[in-house]
Amino acid sequence: MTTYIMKRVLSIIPTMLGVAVLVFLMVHMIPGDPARAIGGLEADAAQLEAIRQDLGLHEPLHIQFFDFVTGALRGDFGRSFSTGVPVTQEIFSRMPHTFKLALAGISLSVVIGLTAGVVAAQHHQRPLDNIVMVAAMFGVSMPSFWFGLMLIVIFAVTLGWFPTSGSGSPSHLVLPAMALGIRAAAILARLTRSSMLDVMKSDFVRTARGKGLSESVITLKHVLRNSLIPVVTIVGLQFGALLAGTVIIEQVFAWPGIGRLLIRSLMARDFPMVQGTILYIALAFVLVNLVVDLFYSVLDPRIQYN
Amino acid sequence: MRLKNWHVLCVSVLLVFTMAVTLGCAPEVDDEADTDPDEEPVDEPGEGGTLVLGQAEEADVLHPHRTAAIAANFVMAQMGDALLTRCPETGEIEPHLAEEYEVADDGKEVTFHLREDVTFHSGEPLDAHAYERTLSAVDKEGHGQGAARLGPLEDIHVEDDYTLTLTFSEPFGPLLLNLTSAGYQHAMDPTHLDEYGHDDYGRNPSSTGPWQFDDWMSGESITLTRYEDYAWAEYFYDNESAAYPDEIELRYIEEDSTRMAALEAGELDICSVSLADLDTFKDHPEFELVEYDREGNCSNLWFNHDQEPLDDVRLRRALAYGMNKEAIINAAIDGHGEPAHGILPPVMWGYYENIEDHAYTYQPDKAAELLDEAGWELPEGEDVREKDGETLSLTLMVTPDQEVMRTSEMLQAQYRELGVEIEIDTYEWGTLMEYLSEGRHDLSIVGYSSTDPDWLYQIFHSEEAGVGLNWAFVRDEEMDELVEGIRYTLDEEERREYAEEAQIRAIDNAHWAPIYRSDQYIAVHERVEGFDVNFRGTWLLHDVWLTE
Repeated sequence: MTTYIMKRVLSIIPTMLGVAVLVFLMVHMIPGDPARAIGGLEADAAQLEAIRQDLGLHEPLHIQFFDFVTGALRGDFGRSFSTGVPVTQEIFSRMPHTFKLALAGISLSVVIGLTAGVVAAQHHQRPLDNIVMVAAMFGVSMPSFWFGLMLIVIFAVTLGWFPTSGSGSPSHLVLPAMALGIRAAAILARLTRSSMLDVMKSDFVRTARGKGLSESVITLKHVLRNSLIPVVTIVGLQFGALLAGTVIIEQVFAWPGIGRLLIRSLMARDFPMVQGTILYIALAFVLVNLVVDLFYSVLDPRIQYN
Repeated sequence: MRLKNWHVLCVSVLLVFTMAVTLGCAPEVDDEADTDPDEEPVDEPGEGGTLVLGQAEEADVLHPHRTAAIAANFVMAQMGDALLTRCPETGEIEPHLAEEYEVADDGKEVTFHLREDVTFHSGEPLDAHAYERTLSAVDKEGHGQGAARLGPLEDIHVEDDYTLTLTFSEPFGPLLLNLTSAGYQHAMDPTHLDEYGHDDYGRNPSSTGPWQFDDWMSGESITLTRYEDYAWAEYFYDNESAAYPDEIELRYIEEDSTRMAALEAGELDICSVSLADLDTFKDHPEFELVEYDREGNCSNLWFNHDQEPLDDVRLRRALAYGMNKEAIINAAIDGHGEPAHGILPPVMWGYYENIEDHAYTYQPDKAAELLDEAGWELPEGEDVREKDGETLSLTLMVTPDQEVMRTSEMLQAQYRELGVEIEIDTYEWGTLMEYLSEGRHDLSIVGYSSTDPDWLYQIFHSEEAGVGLNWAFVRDEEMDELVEGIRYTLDEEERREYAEEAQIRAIDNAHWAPIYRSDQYIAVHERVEGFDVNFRGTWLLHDVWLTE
């Protein structure tokens, strides 16, 4: 087990190095001049050149890359071109917001998704099953951007129950978490249902029934637990996807997370900030996947990593 | 709003005079004369509360020499004061922190005499030394608008504690106007510069304005608190002491729909309204709409003079004649705007009031004639013109913004009828800017707003082609002389003549085809009293108080 974890942790290094190279190249290859973004429309040629000198953009690309990698290894991504704030400081101030939102979104989707999935499986091919599945279909196909705006119009503007945007209080979290979690909830509901239906047909469930166990004990203890392996995989993957997928939701709800930071930095051609943000998102994704893999063996002791 | 259509009045000296008398440049502008006797009497301004302002763009850095962002300028303008200010109605330059100023005969030296009772938020007095320190940072730190707006500044000399002389290598036309910017030209508090250095000043600013910096929740909001000792408000405000509300919160919401939802839900007190949402707020019982004129054209067709066949003035004129601006205004902004005739807007100083006589009106026949004359003929049975076997096909590079896209499609249809084929390519703004400065386009549509005819230097001087904003790649010696005149002349009358001639020349040679200016609206919640804007739409906040 320890050897496995060590191997996995070490494999993060080449992954991140690959991401770093790709990000650096992409950021420097996209058209658009950071100096113009900073100097604005009214800056003249001499000013633009001064800005480029100041930012080190006049250096050859390989030197800029070397500086970037050596800095990144020390955890120093430099200062933002546009705000002047150290990149790491900005990311650490934004990361908790995104993490909070993703966690709320995934919790909501697990609660809703598992419940709906269990209910649907129990009422297999009865009206309740159909209702849940139609709702899930709706949840999967709805664009989150549109759904977010609908939530704002209904629950914030018309009913006035929640604020439209921003962070700051727990009530600010409700609408974006719903908008973010609804898709994952729908996916989980469908997955839980089909996984449970599979398990329900197996011999040990028939044995449990034969022993005279109550339906609820069978469902929760025997069926649900054994259906969870594929579900956990998806929860893990969805959590990673949510971390990155908050980009759109953060934009809609003006949530001060890392996704919105990324969009803004891209628009401003804020190279250090874009590089830093993407590297941190990639790292979070890799770590979440590692945790999910390890969690398998907790759920199913037969899975062992040697 | 009483400032609506101000520019129409501007054309007549007599009317301007009448307006100056009725509105005055003094702060007592309204209420008493037009108060309805049935209305409840207006209460005395009350203190307290948080004034929440909705904005689309977040500020980047609150350092006057390191930013060109309008959003940053807005925050700095609440935190700072300028040496000079402008009359809210006429735009005339008036003293502010500089009680008096003298311009040397050669125009290369300007001396300012500062007020002696002004203090920074830290309590330190504002004197000539503090200004010297702010301005001398231009050399080392200067790449933002604060630096750009000082032009060929050569030397800063402190005559005594409250007298400062600026020396320029050449007279700099826009100087006095630029020194009215409380944002880009605020004095930086020396104690904060000592403590934070230039690198971190931008997140820990301090100046002399009515609002002091309190907190910045990155990605969300900036909070300013009232500066209690403030007693040097600009002369046109009623309120001569500290501001009324306890706090200003600037809330940043990029997404238009969300920002408008926040406004409608009552979370914001003051916010600009996009034209798409105008109907929601037009007759809304809780909001008043304030209208103003933008100091710039929202939409202009830029011709790339370096690309054949647009180097031929007949072709550019044909495209200007073939443009139906009314139809575009109806399609792109639901009729909420007016055609732009000249390069500069009527509210800008130096606007040439007879520019309409030179402007191109929609005359498709004349456009077709000019195209024929230039050798671009329509072959039998074809619908695109040809010359020497080449078809008349032009690339229009734009951003995928909805207004711009609708305008582009209308132009495409209108030019199609002339036998000109337009291919529309869309790019994200940063990319488009690079392509435009490289001159990859035939045509583009870009709007602007500016404060001074010096803008003409930036867009038409040949040295700005390829490096600056001369994305039309105009290379015209006579134009160069005219815009240099605008930049390097201080004498108002002489400057105005240069500006007028440049405007005429630009239209006659069809350097750009101006399209429209759209109406601009600000929604103000009913709990806000005392809000106003100046002639160019700058928010005037010092008389604002909250009723709840």
